[in-house]
Amino acid sequence: MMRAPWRIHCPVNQLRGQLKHSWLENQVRDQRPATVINRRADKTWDRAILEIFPREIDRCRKLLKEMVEGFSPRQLVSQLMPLRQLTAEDRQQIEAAVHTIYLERTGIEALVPELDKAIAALESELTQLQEAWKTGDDEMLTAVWENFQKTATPLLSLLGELPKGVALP
Amino acid sequence: MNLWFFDHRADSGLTKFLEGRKSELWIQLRFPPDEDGILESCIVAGDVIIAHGQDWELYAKNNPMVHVVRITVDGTGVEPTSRDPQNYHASPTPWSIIDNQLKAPRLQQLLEQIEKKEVEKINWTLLAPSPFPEYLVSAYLLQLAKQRERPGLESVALPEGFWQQALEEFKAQRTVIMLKRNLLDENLSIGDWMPDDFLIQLGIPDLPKEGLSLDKGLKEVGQLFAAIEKTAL
Repeated sequence: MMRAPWRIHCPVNQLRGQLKHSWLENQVRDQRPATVINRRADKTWDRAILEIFPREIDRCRKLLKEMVEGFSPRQLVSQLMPLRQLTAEDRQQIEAAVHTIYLERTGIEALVPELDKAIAALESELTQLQEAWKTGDDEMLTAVWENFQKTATPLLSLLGELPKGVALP
Repeated sequence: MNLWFFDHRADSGLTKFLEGRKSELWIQLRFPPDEDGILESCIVAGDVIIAHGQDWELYAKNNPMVHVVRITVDGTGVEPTSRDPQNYHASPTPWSIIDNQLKAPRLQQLLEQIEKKEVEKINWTLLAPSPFPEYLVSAYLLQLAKQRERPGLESVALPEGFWQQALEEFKAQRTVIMLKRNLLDENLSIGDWMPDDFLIQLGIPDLPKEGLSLDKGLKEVGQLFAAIEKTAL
């Protein structure tokens, strides 16, 4: 892998960053149970738990679906201005070669089933959380929230293993 | 002066306000939230950062090189919510109150500078494509593809003047500052895809014939980066 000090933007990386940082770190990992209980009492998190968290699960699935192609350097070949002077046929050859090398060297396809499993586990735990949010007492909400955080940990970790931009294999 | 605006979620009222003026501004960089290390390589003394909420907490307040303008919703410099110092992420911030944000005197002054084009550059986070050294990446991908011995590619050459353009791009992007961190390839040695004359232009006349790679020793690579930095800055 080329160990470049720059990042090359791609939409799936922005999605990855938002899920990892804005959701799983800021809204899940860093929220203590006492804070969550307060959020329920003052009703400031009703929308987050009941609407936004399920939406974030959907966005995880979108990432899952798009990530192998989304981090591939294949997309760069048609974008890079210096390569535009090559023939279309040459560019296609380069695209095919770098994509194959990317798959081999990143092993990104192997992360797909792991990520799928982590998302499903968190979705299941979210159902418990929503029930506790609506009907459980503080003690129950605390326990469920801690489970939710624990279940989110593998997903957070997997998102951290993904490339941070277009991969340069 | 470079003006940086940090809003990693790109959802603040200020983002929306400035976005309307985007076409007038010099837009350069994107920094997803967990890539703040790159920021340290690019911000220079005298730059101004506009940030609020956790962007201010995480990226701006402890940077000794910059003037920091902390935007708050009421313009007083005090966050409206009672923040838990151990858990400041918990405070919800009503980003949408843009009118009040704009009452902050220093921010207002900056916005006036922008309107008058007194600000040289705006580095827009999360809203603009990142620059990266396209010439270097192009050369790298071509070389990588050639390794696969795909029919026809062996005769494909980079256009004339390519490496001179790469040099100009290097300087324009301040890539050299970032390069000192790491530009190593575990599969292709630098000499494989950066020609000698390009490196000579950067002030490195004695590149070993076989090039430099990670396993050839970090000392040599350190000297390479030091030479690049000395020459190009």
